[in-house]
Amino acid sequence: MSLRLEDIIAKHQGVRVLGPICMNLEQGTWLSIVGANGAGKSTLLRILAGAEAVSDGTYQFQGRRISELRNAERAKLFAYLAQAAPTQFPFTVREYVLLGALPHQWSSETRRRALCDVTKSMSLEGLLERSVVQLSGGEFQRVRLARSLLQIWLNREASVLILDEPLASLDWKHQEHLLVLLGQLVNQGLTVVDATHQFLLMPSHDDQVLVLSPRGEALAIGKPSLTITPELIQNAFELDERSTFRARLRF
Amino acid sequence: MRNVLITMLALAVVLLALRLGPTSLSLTQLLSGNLEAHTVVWQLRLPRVLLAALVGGGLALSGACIQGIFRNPLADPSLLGVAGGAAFAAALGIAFAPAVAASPWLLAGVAFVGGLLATLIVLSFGGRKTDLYTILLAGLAVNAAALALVGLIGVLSMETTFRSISFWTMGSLNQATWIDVGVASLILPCVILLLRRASALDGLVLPDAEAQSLGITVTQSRREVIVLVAAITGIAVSLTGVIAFVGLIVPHMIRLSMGATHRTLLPYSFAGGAILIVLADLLSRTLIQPMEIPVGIITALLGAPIFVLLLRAQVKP
Repeated sequence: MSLRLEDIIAKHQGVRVLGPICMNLEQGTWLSIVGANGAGKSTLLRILAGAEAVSDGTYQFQGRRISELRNAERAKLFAYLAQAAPTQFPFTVREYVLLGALPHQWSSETRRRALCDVTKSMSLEGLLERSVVQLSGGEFQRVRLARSLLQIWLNREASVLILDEPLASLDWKHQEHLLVLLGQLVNQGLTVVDATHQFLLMPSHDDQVLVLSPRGEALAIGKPSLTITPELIQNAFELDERSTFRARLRF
Repeated sequence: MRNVLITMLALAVVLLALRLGPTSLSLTQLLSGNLEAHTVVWQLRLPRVLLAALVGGGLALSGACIQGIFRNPLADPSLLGVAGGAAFAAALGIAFAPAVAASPWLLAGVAFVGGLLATLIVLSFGGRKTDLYTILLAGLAVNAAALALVGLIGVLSMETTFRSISFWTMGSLNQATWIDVGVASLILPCVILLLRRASALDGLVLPDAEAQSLGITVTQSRREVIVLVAAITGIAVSLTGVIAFVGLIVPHMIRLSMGATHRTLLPYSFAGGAILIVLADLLSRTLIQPMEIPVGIITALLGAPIFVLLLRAQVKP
C-alpha cells in the first residue's frame, strides 16, 4: 500500500474543514478529488504533499508516517503544484522549470536531459529563454506543470505527483495532451492525485475518484464508472432540481 | 564578460571618487604618495568610499532578498521598520540624552537597538507563521509612525538639534572614519550568509506549499532572511542614516538586465548598490561645493524618476 489515510481530519482555527477520510492508494494509480468550492480539496492535497499536518488521524506513505520523512527525502518523492499562482519575477522558462531540480544533486548532464524531456512533454521547447512574466496564462500553467514533473521525473515509478486544478487555463488540446501524458506516467508507476472539476474527461477506467461533500466528508471513493451517480453529483455540488447542468448531463 | 564590465565600472567609480573633492587630485598625484594627497585619500576619501560601498551593497542586496521573500518586486528593506526605528531612537538620543548625542558610537548603538526593536514589533504582528501581508502592512505603519515621531522631536527641538536629527532621515556619509568602515564590515558576514541562501530564495518565489514540497523549510528560511536583512539595514542606518531607494531600485534594474535567479541577482545587486552609492556620494559632495547634499536626497532625486521610467517600461508589453 503506497498512500494510507486513516480517519484523517483537518481543522483550520479549530473548525473542521476536512474529514474524516479513510483511503488506501496503490503506487501507480490516479486519484481525482471531486467536490464543490470550499469542500476541502486543496487542503487534502496539501496534506498529501506533506505541506500541511493533519489535525487528527494518521497519514502513512509506504508504512511510514509522512511527518517522519525528512524534508529533503520527501522532496524527492512528492511533487506538488498549487492552484494557478502568477509570479512577478522575470525568471526565464528554463530557470523556472529548473526549480524542480532544487531537491536533487544531479550532474549537469542528467539535469540537461531531464529538462529536455520534461519541456518536450509540455511543448515548451520554443519558450525556454522567454521570461515567465510575458507568457499567457495557459503557457505559464504548462511551465508550472513542467516544474513539478521535473521534480519527480527520474524516479517517477516510485513518486507521487499532486496537482491542484492542473487543467485550469489550458486549452482543449493541451488538456487532452496532459491527461494522456499523466495516463502514460501512471502506467509507468507514478501515483497522481489531482483536484479537478473535469472528472468526466478522465481517460482510463482504472482510475479512482474521491467525492467530497460540501462539508469535507468523503461521500464515495472508487472507480468513476461505478461511483459517480446522478444522486452523488447532486449531493456533492448541491445542484437543484432545475439545474441546467443536470439536464445537459442527462442526469 | 559581465563580470569584467562590472569590475571596470567599479574601479572607474572608485578612482573618480578618490580623485574628486574640494582638492582634486590627478591620477599621478593619487599614485605618487605625496603627503598631502596621502592624507586626503587615506584619512578622508578612502574610508568614505568603502563605507559607501558596504552600505550601498548591503542595502541593495537586502532589498533583493526582501522582495524575494515577500514575492513583491516593490518591497524594500525599510518595510521591516528597521530604518524608522533606528532614526527614532537616534532622534530621542540627540534631543534628550546629551551624553548619547556627544558620542557617535553610543548614538550608532542606540540607533541599532531602536531598529532591532522596531523589527521585533513588526514581526510580532506576523504571528507564528510569519504572515507576509500582515508584516508588510505592520512595517508600513511602524515606519510611518516612527518617522512622524522623528519629525515631531525635530520640530520641538532647537535649530542645532534639528539639523543633526535631519541627518538620520536623509542619510549622509559625512565624517566617515576607519572605525565606521570597521563596523560596516560586519555587513559582510551577513551578506555571505544571504548569498548561501540563494537557491532557497528561488524556491520561496513559489507558493508556500510548493516551496515546502521542494524541501525548503519555508517559515524558518523566511525568518533567517528577515533577521539577516534587519541586521544589515540596522548597521547601515546607524552609521549613515536612512538612504532611500537603493534597496528598491538596484535589484529591479539587475533583474531586468541580468536575470531574476537569486544566484545572479544577489551578487550583482551588491555590486550595483555599492557602485551607485559611491557615485551618489561623489555627487553629494561635489555638486554644490563646499556644501554637502545628504546622499539620501541624491538617491531619492535620482531614484524616483529612474524608478518611474522602469515601471513604465514594464507596463508597456
